[in-house]
Amino acid sequence: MTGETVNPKAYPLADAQLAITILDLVQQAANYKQLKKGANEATKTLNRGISEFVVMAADTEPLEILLHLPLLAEDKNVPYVFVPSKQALGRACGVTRPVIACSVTTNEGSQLKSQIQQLKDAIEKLLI
Amino acid sequence: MATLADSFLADLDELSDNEAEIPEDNDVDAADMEEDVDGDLADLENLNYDDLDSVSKLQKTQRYTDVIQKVEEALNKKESEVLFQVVDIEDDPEYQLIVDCNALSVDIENEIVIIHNFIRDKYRLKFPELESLVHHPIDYARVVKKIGNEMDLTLVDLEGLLPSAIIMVVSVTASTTTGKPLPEEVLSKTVEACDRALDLDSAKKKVLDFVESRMGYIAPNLSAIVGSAVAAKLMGTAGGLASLAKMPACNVQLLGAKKKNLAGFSTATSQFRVGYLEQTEIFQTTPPSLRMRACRLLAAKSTLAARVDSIRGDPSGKTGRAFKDEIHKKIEKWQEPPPAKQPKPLPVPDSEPKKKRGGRRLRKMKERYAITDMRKLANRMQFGVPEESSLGDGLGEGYGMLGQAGSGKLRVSVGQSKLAAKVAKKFKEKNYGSSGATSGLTSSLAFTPVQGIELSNPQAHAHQLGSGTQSTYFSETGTFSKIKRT
Repeated sequence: MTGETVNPKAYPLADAQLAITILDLVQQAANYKQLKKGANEATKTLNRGISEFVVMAADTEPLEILLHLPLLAEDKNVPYVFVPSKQALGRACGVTRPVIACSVTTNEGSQLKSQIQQLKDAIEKLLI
Repeated sequence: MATLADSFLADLDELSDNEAEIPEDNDVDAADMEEDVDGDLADLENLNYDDLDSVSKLQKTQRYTDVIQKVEEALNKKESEVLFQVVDIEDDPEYQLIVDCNALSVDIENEIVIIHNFIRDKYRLKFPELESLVHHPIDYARVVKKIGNEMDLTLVDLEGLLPSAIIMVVSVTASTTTGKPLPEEVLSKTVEACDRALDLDSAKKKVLDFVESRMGYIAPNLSAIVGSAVAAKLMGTAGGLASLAKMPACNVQLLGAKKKNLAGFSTATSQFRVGYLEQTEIFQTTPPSLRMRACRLLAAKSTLAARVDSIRGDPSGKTGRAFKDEIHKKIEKWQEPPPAKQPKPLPVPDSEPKKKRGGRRLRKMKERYAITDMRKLANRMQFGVPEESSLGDGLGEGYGMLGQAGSGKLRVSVGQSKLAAKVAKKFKEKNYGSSGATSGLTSSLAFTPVQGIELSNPQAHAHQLGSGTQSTYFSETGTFSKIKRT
């Protein structure tokens, strides 16, 4: 994985430590039914305004098939981040196929609210 | 060249016609105000809908005329000039023109809907049922213009405007309609609105033709999958390439889907209707049983190609051709027959040795827990003979063949079993005591197999144990009761 060159359009890219934290929270969101898997469903959550943040895979081939999500996320003021591996993202989402994009949804009164808020702050620091 | 010049001159004539018509409309408005002094509702209706220019403003705008003029100039341009400008397409003014054309086609579509509402409101007095029979705005405008104020629809030739079934339904409905002929000024306004709608539709077709011819530069990957005509329609309906890229794939599948127009006919024979993706070459070459799956696959890959095109990821269209090859491969995979069934061999027999054998103990266990003769008879039914039951008339528990041997009793005489006989024999051997019922009247003479006959003497123990008949209390030999004299 370290030998491969990452697409420079995949920005902001999480480092190894932050990627582990993101994938762990994605897995917990999947268990709490607060996760939408796939680029189309992530697009719908952004259009409906129920998305907390969007996670995308940087090794998507071609990467352009999910670069409309950062544009939508900027319009809706939602943080977005790239993780290095789509295989790892699929495993974190709980599916056997690779997942190139997923979205953690909003739920008032959820037990994950504080963790989601901390992770949103960490993602927004990458953009500074 | 001549036809395009004629259409250009016709546009100029239309502009002059619009200028000439404005005073006439003012005069007609004044006449209406003079005639309809008493009717309040008519005044309100005239104030709302009287002037077409108050609701339809697109053709008057500068942007519309500029874009249409540029489109006509661009269509006249030679092919070599177009090829010369491929080098840097993003800075090309023609690219900006194409982007303006996408926005304009959406505006034209909205304008046609507004004019359709105007025509429908005007023409409802004459033919109220027509709007529910003809749904498409352009078809409706053509039919209204053709019918006009004619009351007998058999004299009107609608061939070529509508399908034959719809023509039949419209003719039958027109013979029973409650509408009345329109006044002349209302009819002239309606026909003018129809003309304007048809002009807008032809302008939209011109814009889409221009976008279609340039589709290889705007969306090369999307055109590689669905073709340039369908790509232009998808972009026109979605409102541009950026909007198309931001749609989910399930929405792209329904772009261009029309309302069902069966007019009372059965839906059993109607085809599966989707939007513009139905018109692609891939969809038409697919067998009908696989078309729904092909439509979903086509929508998904088209969306991915549109997303690649929206940020100009692959101008050469290589990604789109790869998607198209993948689609073809999948559709061919679906059409393969399933693998032939192999003859299945018998399963390997169970080679584990049995833990339980026969033997003496098992036979005794089976005999001990076997079903009784009484239950066997109760479980059987004789043919043709009704059984008795515990509650009578078939209710409760049935007795089967029990009690039908002729005696009428339910008790079954127990047959001899080896186990019972052996148990009885063993029990008899231990009976060493009395041979029968023992009462107080019999003697104590006992027969035992060991000692034989023994005659016992009841007086034998009296001497040994002391006689019970004599009391030692009053005896003279007792030492405590008699005191000796000294």
